[in-house]
Amino acid sequence: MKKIIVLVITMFVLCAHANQEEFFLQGNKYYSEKAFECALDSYQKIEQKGPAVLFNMGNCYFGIGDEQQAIAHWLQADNQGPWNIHKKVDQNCTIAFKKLGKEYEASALHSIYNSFVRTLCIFPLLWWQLLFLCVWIFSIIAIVNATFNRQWGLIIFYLFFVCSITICFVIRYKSTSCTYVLVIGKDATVRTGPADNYGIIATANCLDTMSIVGRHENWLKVHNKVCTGWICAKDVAIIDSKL
Amino acid sequence: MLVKMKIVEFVLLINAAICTAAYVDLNVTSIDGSSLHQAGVGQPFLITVTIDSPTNSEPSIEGLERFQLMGKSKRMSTINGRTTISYSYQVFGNAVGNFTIGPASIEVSGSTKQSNNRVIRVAQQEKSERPQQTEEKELAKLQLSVDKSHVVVGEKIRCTLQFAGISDKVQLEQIANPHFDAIIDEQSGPVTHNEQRNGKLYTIAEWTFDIRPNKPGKLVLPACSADVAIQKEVNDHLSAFSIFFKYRNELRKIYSNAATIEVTELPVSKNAIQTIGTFDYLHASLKPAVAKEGEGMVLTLALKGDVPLNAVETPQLQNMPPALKWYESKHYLQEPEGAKEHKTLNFEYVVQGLQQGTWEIPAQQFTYFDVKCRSVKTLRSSPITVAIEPNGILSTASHSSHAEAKSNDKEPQEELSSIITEGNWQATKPAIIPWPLFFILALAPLLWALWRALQLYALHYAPYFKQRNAFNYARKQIIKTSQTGASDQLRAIFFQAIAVRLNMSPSLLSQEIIERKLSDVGMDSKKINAFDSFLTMLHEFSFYKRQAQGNESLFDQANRWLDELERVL
Repeated sequence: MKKIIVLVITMFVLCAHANQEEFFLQGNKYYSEKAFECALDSYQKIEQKGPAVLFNMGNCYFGIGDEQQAIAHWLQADNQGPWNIHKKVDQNCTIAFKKLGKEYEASALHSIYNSFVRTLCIFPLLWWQLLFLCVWIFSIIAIVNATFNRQWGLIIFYLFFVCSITICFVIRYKSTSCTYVLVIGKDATVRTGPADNYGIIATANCLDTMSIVGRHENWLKVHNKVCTGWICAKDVAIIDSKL
Repeated sequence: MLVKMKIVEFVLLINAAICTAAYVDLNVTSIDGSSLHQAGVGQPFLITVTIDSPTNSEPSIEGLERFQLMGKSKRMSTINGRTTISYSYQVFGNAVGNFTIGPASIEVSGSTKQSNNRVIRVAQQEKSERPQQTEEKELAKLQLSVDKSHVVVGEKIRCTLQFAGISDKVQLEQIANPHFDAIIDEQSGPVTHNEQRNGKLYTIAEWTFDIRPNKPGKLVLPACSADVAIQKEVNDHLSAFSIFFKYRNELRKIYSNAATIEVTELPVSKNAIQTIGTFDYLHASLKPAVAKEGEGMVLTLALKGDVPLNAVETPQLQNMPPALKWYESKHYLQEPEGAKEHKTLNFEYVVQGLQQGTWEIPAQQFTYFDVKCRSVKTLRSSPITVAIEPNGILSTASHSSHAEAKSNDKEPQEELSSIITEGNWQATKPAIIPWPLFFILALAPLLWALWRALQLYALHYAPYFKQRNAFNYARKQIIKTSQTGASDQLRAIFFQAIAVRLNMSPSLLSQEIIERKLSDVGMDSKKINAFDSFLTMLHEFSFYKRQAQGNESLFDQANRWLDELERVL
C-alpha cells in the first residue's frame, strides 16, 4: 500500500513538473509569435518562477509597453539568476531605462562594483562556503604555528589572505540575499504611516530603489538615503532572491 | 334512352369536376430526386410543391422556417393543355429531431388549397436513402473540414473543402458554390496535387474559405456537392463497337459531410472590443515630431497581427489634447518581411497643431478578443511628445523632443536580448551548507587555536600556579590521609608543600633549611622551635610507624601549621 502511495505521489509530482514546463515552452512559443500577453499568461501559470521565466516575463512586459514591470522582472531574474543572465539583464535594462529617459548605472564606481559582484557570482554560494572554510581552517592553523615560531610577517600575510576571502564571501552572500523594492508606480508617495490618511513625507520617483525595513498588510516600511517611511505595496516591485 | 343520356351527362360532369379541381402535392426528396425520410444535419434536400393548376401565388409551407433555406426555384410545364407548376426549395436542417413539413397552402382561383404533409427526421449523422457503393466512395470523396469547433461572433474560421478522386478513373466536372451563412472574408483555390492513398494515386483539389460568423448560435455549414464523371467499363460483349468504346463516363453527384460550429457571444469587456484576432503590438509614430502652428503631421498607428484588413475599423484617437486637431487619412496593409510574420495594418491620421507648446499624444489603446488566449486583451502604444512651434524658425529645444520622438520610432524589439528558452525555468533552492553547520565548522579551528593557546599559557605559567596552590594541595592531601589514617605520609606532604612554595627540589630540603627560611621570613623563634618539634614528631610517625594517639589532634595541628606557613612563606 505504501509503495502505491509513494508511486502515486511520485507520478503526481512528475506530472505537475511536466505541466509547469509545458507552460514555459508554450510561453516561449507565444513570445516567438510576438503574442506577448498570451506568453505572459502562460508564464504566470508557473508556480515557482525561475530566473529564465522572470527574464522572459520582463521581455513580454517590454513588448506590451510596460517598461517598469519589465525592469522589475529582469532585476528579479538577475537577483536569482546564474552569472550568465547578468549580461542579458544589463543589455535589456539599459534599453528600458533609456526608453524611460533614465540612466541604468549611476556611476563608474557603481559599475565597477557591480562587475566585481558579478565576477564573484560566477561561482555558486556553496563553492564560496567551501572555499572560505578551507582558507579559514588553513589560515588559523598556519597563524597558530607562526605564532609559536614568532613569524610575524607570515601572520600578517595569512590574516590579509583570510580577510580578503571573508570580504568576498560576505559580498557574494549579500548579493544573493538582498531584498529591496523598485518603485514602479508613477505617483508613488512615501507616508508617515501605513495608510492613505497619513502625511506624505516624499514622492518616490519611478525606478528608485529602497531597502525594506518592515511590513504592515499592504504597506512596506522602506528606507533610502533621503527618508524612511511607508509606501503602498502596489506601487513597488519587491526584488528578492528568496522569493 | 333518357336514362343513358343521364348516365353520360353524369360521367361528363364528374370528369369535368376532376379536370377543374386543383391538385397540390408536397414531396421531400434528396437532391438527386430519390425519396427521403432521413437527412443528416447540414445535408441539403429538396421540398417540392407541385400544383397542377396555373397560379401566380407562391405556396406557403408550414414548418419550412425550421430549416435553413439555400435556394428556391420554380418550374412550369404544360402537357396536353394541362399546366403544372413546381416550386422547389433546397434546404438543410441544423438541428436534430423529427420535423413535419407541410401542409403547403396556395391560393388557386380564389380558393385556398392545401397539400399533404411529410415528416422528415434530421439526424446527427447523414444517412443516405440510396447508399453510395463502397467502390464509388473509394473512387471520389468530398470532405469539408473546419479548423475550429467553438468560436465567438466575428472570429475567423478556416474551412477547407477537399475533393479526392482516383486520377485515372474520376474527373471532377463541377463543384457547387458552398452555402455558408457567414461573412466570407477570403476564398482561394483550387490548389491541386497528387497523393498516394492505400496504394492508389488520387488527385486532390482543395478550396479554402475564411469565414466569420455574424450571429451567435449553432452555425451549420451544409454539405457541399460536386459533379464527377466516373469511368465505367462497358460489359456489352456482343456489341461490335465494344472494342473501341470499352469505357463510358457516368455522371454522378457526390456530397461532402456537413460541419457544425458553436458560435458564442463575445465576452463582456470594460473597453469596447474593436476586433477579433491575434495581435502582436500597437505602435504609434509621428512624422515630423516638430511642426509649426497649423502644419500637418502624420500620425501612424501600426497594428501588427493576424487579421484581415476589412475586419478592423479605423480606431479613433483617444484623449487627444485640444491643442491638436486630427482627422483620419488612410489605412493600408503592409506585407511582412518574413513568411511567418504577421501583416501590419497602418492607420494614418493627419494631426495639426493649433497652439504652440509641447504636447503629448497619449498612449492609444486597442482592445480585441485574443483568439489564442480566448480572452479580451488591450494593446497600448507609447505616448508621443510633439512640439508645436510658432510660425518662425524652430528653436534648438525642439530638436531634443524631435530626437525623443525619433527614438520612439525605433523598433525596440530588435535590440532586446532574446528570451531564455532552456534551463532555470523553475526556481530551485541553491545548494548550500546549512548555516548552523557552517558556523560550527568555522568555529572548530578557532576552538582548536584557543586550546593551543591555553596549552601554551599553562606551559609558561605552571610553576607559578603550582607554587601558589602548594598549601591548598597539601590540605587536600591531609584530608585524604585523615580519612585513611595514614599519618606516616604527613611529613612528606609538608616537605612537598614547602619545597614547591620555596621553588626547591624536595630532595634538597631539610629541617635546617626550613628553619633558616622561616627565620628569614621573620617567624618568631618560639614558633620555629615548635614547628621543628612538630616536624620531628611527623618524622617519628613516618619512620617508626607509631600509632598516633588522638590522630585527630595531629591532623588539626597539621592544618594549623599549614595555615601558619602559608601566611609567612
